[in-house]
Amino acid sequence: MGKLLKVNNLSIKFSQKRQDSVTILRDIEISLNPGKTLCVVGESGCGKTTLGRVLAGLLPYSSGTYHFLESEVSEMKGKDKIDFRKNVQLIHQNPYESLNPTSMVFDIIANPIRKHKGIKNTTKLYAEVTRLLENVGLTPVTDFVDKYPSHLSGGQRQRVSIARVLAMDPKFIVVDEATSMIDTSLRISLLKTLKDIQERTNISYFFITHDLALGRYFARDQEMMVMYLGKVIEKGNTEDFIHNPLHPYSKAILSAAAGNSGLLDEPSEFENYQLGGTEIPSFKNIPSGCPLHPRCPQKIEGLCEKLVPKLIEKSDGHSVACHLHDEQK
Amino acid sequence: MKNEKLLDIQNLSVSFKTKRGFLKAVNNASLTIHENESVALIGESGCGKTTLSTSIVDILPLGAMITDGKILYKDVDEKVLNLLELKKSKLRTLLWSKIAMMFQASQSSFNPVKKIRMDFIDTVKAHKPRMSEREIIKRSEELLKMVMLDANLVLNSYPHELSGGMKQRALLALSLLLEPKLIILDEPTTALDLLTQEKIVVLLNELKQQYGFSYLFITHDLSIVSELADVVVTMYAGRIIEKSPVKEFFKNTKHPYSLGLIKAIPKLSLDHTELFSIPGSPPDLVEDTIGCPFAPRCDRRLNRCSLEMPNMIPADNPHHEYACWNPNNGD
Ligand SMILES: Nc1ncnc2c1ncn2[C@@H]1O[C@H](COP(=O)(O)OP(=O)(O)OP(=O)(O)O)[C@@H](O)[C@H]1O
Ligand SMILES: Nc1ncnc2c1ncn2[C@@H]1O[C@H](COP(=O)(O)OP(=O)(O)OP(=O)(O)O)[C@@H](O)[C@H]1O
Ligand SMILES: [Mg+2]
Ligand SMILES: [Mg+2]
Repeated sequence: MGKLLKVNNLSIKFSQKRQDSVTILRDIEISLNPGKTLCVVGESGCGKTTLGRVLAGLLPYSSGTYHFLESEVSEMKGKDKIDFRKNVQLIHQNPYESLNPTSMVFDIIANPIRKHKGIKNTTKLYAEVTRLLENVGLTPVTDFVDKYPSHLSGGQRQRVSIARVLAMDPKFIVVDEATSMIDTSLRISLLKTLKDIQERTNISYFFITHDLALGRYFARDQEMMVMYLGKVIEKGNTEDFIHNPLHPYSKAILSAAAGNSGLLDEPSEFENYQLGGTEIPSFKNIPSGCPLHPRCPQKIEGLCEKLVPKLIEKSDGHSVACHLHDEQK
Repeated sequence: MKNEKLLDIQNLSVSFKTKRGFLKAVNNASLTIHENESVALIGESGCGKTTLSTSIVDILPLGAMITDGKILYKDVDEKVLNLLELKKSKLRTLLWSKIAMMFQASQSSFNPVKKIRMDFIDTVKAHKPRMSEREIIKRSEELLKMVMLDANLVLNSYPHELSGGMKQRALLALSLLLEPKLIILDEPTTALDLLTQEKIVVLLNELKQQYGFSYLFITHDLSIVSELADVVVTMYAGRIIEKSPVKEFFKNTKHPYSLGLIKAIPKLSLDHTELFSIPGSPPDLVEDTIGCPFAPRCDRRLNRCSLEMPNMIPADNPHHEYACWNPNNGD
């Protein structure tokens, strides 16, 4: 099977009024096949949403290439562009900005079906909208179809956003923290629904989350990727990554996710690993060398603050950008 | 440590008028927040958590009606005020200085055409007219750093130039800056990674110690509950169905719905092929139920459950209450 998408050496700059432009994403390399999931984690503000928006075609990139089904996205025209727009969808991180406040829930979901699938018959439309709303647990459906977004709770908005995207039968969805305002139980059933759809339709997901346990479940036997200050610092098969994290930042987030103090925590096999320092990471002031060095407990003096580590493949499909793992330095 | 009651919500009911009838988003809910206490409100999406907390600060959406109940607030001079009967002007001054709320829509709460700096100055000035601009900026910088933000950069940015979690943290810093008695936080950490979350939990706990704040916070993240709450309150279908000190809540959960929420937390240390979720769908808030609203989905259901509504009763630990005919006993 051919690649669904392939990103090479991509970067993004934001230009700002009366200030130097800031580079947010650097040297991004991603490839994804049909039916696969790539789970992305990383510190708040590190560029996950920005990358998701690029992949969804909502943000132009400054350099590099992005191929979707073999065509370069920035050069798409006419029908190709229309197909791309339909095939690639994004579930927005913030459900308070992503729904049209003047449309009823019915139209929010029916409009894309009318447009992309050409279904105009009201009975058929109604049946399809009902199916989608039931899929995301918005029942009784009759209560929701004539509501406006302002009549919905946070989690209900998130579910309408999910249903709307599913209505378009895309090939690829960027799922940006799309279940963050939903209770633990319903969250699991929504993710199960998304996984079922993947099995049936071979859809691919770019799944942004900060919940590593959830990511492990959703991207089971797939890939996980860690970002730090706009760069990919580790990537690997999910289980391999969870059990054998290589980058100090990855170790620290896994240690935090496994927990070792709270009421909920169970004794675990995960290493207790903490970052140090009081540095606040910022794109305005990216550290020289390895961007993590001011916080890294295993910093190699004289190397890490000088030389930028490259992303190196350590074992089958598991890559890391860290001098501790670079034998050739 | 026995602190006095700060906010006492008694039998509150809130309805929305809809086509099919009244949707009872909050149904006979009672809840007490003591001084220097942190209360976590958890429950299913759409069960009425935001509605309950916005009725405290008088910003219910259009179409909402408070049909019953009292919200008592103990003011400085020991005077107890019913917020629902207070004159609007008096209520406003009280709310601006004593109770602050960080909304669930925090990621869109900032004015899109203003730099964050101006938003901070304007908001703080409105609440605390005596604070000078320099003081405001100095304190903002301190707090922004404490929530792991580059203060200078954030203050000089427009909201669209910040990530979801950056906006959330900036808004959190702003509500802390106001130094109210009670801070209501509606899903304050949905966009934050774990390391940042940890820092924020530490900060919130420190400020609570230092200034004697009380918190009412809504979250779906039970690990935050376990680290930040003194008391946990579970809501289901507009009703409060369990209230308990936090340790007791996790060790000795009584209500099957609370237990379901805990069971559904994915754990990193377990290799799940399938995760647990509570079967069935949430109840209709327009229809009146005779029995327990959770009964149709409950695996501990008895005949009685569908016929008669359980009231809140105390557990062995008298601070722990629940509404269930057949509670979990660890069996
Ligand atoms: N239009 C813009 N102009 C300038 N900087 C921007 C712009 N949009 C985003 N940024 C910056 O890009 C960085 C990455 O933002 P992004 O929203 O991608 O982060 P994120 O990883 O999704 O974070 P979070 O987990 O908090 O949502 C942030 O530091 C943000 O300040
Ligand atoms: N303006 C409105 N008109 C009609 N119904 C409404 C309105 N606002 C909210 N509701 C309904 O009231 C119920 C409670 O909503 P609320 O926002 O309090 O839920 P919540 O517990 O905060 O949920 P979440 O965790 O998803 O944010 C929901 O079922 C919602 O659909
Ligand atoms: Mg984001
Ligand atoms: Mg809410």
